[in-house]
Amino acid sequence: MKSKEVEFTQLIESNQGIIHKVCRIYCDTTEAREDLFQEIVLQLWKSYDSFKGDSKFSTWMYRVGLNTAITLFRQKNRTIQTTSLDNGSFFNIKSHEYDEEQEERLKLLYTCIKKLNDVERALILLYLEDLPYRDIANTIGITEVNARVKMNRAKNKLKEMMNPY
Amino acid sequence: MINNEPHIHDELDDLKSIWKKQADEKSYGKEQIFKMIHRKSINSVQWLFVITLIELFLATGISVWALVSGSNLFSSHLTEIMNEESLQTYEYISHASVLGSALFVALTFYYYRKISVQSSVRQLIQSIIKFRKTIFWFIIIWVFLTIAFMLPTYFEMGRQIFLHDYDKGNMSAEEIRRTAHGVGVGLATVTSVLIIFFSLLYYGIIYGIFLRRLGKNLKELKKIEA
Repeated sequence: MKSKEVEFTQLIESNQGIIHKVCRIYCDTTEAREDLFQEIVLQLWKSYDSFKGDSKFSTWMYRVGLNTAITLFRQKNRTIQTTSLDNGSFFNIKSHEYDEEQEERLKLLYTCIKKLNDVERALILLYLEDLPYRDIANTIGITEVNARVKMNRAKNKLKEMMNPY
Repeated sequence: MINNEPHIHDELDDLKSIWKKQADEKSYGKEQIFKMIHRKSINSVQWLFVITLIELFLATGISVWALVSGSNLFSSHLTEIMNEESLQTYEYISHASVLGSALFVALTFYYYRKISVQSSVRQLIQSIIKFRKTIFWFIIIWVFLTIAFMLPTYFEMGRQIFLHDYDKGNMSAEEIRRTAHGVGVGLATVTSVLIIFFSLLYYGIIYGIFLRRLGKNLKELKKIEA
């Protein structure tokens, strides 16, 4: 491996959680998630030379990851049979912090996020990942004020879905 | 990193802590990541560009073939009965389209190069839509010009087929002239309708499949800015 490849694979290995989360909110099956993961890694690699370090590596990863998921990636099986859908068994809490109730809440959160549109999913992901509004606005390409307004709407929508009664 | 918004300790904020505790479905090692960066993959924008290039090479190829070989796609019988002027006009238009196609390839490539996965989500969608619009307008202009320039050729073709290949019985000269005119108009109309139909079908399917989701997302982003 060349030194650039070593550096890149190390960065991806230690930050792969970001890509996994993007894959989870945009794909329904394990196969699709694996495909998207590989596509995001490839897009990150292709753009790695032009990563100037103006932003943090992780922020840059969110941007490329979301762009790949929303615009470039086409799921092979768009019409997913109900039987082939995952049963949510991959929404796990880390074993040393396991809490059954929390795991159920996590599953419910993912179920509700998947009912949002692509842009709202991106906003909620960036919110849950604690990115500053400035970075969220830059990643999506809207003003900070609009990012706040839209975020509140998406959050309310999500809360209503999680507590329907 | 903390959101700049005044801290609201609501349900979703609580969910953040659960969110951070989630385990990865699977963890990839350096070797697997290394393989990923060396795999071949074509994304939807690249597919669009490849399809555009194939279309243009096919169209250009036919024109170049006609130019070099002096042949055309008409049968030898049709070539015999058609007047030379009509066939020549047809050929000139085919050759001129090569120039138009080359210009279009350059323009498409220019917009294709502007598509960057490092742009914001909005910019990326906009640049893809712009790329698509370039292709779309080229197709509209191409279909329109094809119909406009080919109509006289097909009109003439219909006329000549009737005059040479059909039994006119005891029709008067005026009737023959009028019927030949009618057949010419008929052939030109049918050809136009077929060109429009197949263009709509083909591009509707190709671009409908690739760009429906992008259009929907751009609409969402516009709603945010409204």
